[in-house]
Amino acid sequence: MDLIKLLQKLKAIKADPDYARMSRDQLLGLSNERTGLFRATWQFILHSLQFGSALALATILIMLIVGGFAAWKSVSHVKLGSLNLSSLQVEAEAIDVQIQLTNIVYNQPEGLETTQQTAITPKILKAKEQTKSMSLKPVSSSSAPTITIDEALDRLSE
Amino acid sequence: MRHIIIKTGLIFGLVAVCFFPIRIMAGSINSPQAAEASCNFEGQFKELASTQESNNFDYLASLMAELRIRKNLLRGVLDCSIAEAESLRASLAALKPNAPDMEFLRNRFYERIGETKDYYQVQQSRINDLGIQGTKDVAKNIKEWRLNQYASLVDGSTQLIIWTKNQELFQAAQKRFHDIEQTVRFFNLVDNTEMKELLTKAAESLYKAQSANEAAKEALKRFDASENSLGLIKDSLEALSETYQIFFDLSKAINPHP
Amino acid sequence: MLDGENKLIEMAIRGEASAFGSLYDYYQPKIYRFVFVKVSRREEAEDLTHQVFVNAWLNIKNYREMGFPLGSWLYQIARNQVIDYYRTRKKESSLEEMDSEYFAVRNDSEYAFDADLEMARVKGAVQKLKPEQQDIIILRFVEDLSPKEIAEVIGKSEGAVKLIQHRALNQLRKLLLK
Repeated sequence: MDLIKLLQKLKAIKADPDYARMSRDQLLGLSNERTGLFRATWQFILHSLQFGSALALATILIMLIVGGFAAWKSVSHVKLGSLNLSSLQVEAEAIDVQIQLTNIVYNQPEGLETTQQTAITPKILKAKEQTKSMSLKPVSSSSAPTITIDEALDRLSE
Repeated sequence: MRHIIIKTGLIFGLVAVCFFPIRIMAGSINSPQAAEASCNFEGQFKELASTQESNNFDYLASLMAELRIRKNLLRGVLDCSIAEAESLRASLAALKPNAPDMEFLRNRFYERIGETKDYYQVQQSRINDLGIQGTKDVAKNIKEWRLNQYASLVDGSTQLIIWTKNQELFQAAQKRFHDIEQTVRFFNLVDNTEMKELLTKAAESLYKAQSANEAAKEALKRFDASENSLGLIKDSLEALSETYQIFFDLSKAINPHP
Repeated sequence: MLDGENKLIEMAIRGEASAFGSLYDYYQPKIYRFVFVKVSRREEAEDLTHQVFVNAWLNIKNYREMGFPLGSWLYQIARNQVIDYYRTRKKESSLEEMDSEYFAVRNDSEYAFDADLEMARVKGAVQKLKPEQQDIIILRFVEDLSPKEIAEVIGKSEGAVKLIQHRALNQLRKLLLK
């Protein structure tokens, strides 16, 4: 496809209509006075924050109310099991593994050209497996490719 | 280019994480080792270098040897690329999206990555007729195609896999919070100041995690830049991790001598 | 350029908010598009665009007709906002700064996987260009400004704009057309 036509696809970008309306109302609801407009800008931002906080409080209240009602109904089933430390630990560690994985994807290091990077990635997961005694399927570093597909293509194109 | 290099390892890493015991993934998934077996090019590159450096007086034989090695390498690279795409598809197929829109997204990524297999197969069909320069040109084209077309599919799929896997963690956390709340009520500890504060903190933290999770979902659907989507996913997991810290504190407060 | 723009500017300078409103309605989509392609994140594009128009409204009395449309002045303000944004922005996202608009769910009937993926690809490629190249590409091919108008926005000669444009297009061809 023609490059210019590709770029012109970006013309389809549009602001959210509710945001545009809110922004316009804030701008035009005031006089052309410095203090009024600065106040308006802060109000614009604070309005957004307040909505989030009100929603948080409402959710907490609803959760506590519903939780209380459910407790009356099922009081006989409540056990200290909900506070079982080892099961809490397992769940917490599952979250840590996901954070590690996300960090690996998120924090791609700069300047690392070679196969070492692909060999490092399974090693990190394997190290995690060893320290946390989880039964991840081991990915041995010896089976990890030492020349990646893209490096191979690079060398073949020379 | 760098992030495609990294992604190859990540795809294999992600498939390995598929076997994590907390029901994150289920069903049969292609073994990462099998995929990796066809992707060892070291020996062939050494052979290529040796052919190029040899002082073989038969120049034609030398060229023929180089061409043979290049073609084999190219076939190997394409086989490996197909295996990589299949591995990623397998990871996508094993996902259990919890909403129709995410299922739609998964299906579309699955289809598009399937189409990349067609591309690789077309390239494979050309190899027999290539000369040395032809192999170089084809390698260059495939490399650029992967960077410009394939990379965005890999990015999106990777993020979707990570996000979908996280949903079980969120469900577990939600259930955990509910159970803890019931326990607090059962032991008539609701009016205890410390309990109240901890419960409120836990609820706020869980809400923060869920909000970031929802924002990450919308970022995925918009195909936002990966640093944005992944940043939100990271925020949601970190908030969830903080929530569990509070759960531990609640546990100690309710039952100091377990 | 908006029909009757000069008249609207005069009215806005006199403090008539509705006149500025008409100018806002015409230019807001253009400024938003320009900013969004450069910063990529919707919420930040919205804040920056709002700030552009706050600055414009505050300083409308200082605007002088220099033979190019008001739009060029607004693009200059937008460019400076984006430069400041990159200077000060934090890497981590901050949940506290998010507002409810951020969580608005897309209308699935408009959801077009391939179109969105393509647009993300194009945006991603543009963002790989140098800032000045980005400005010229967006202003020329998305906002349809002439090289002369672009030159006035970025403060360079028309010849320099054409040269930078040529290099930017070559770079984009390598990134997109394979």
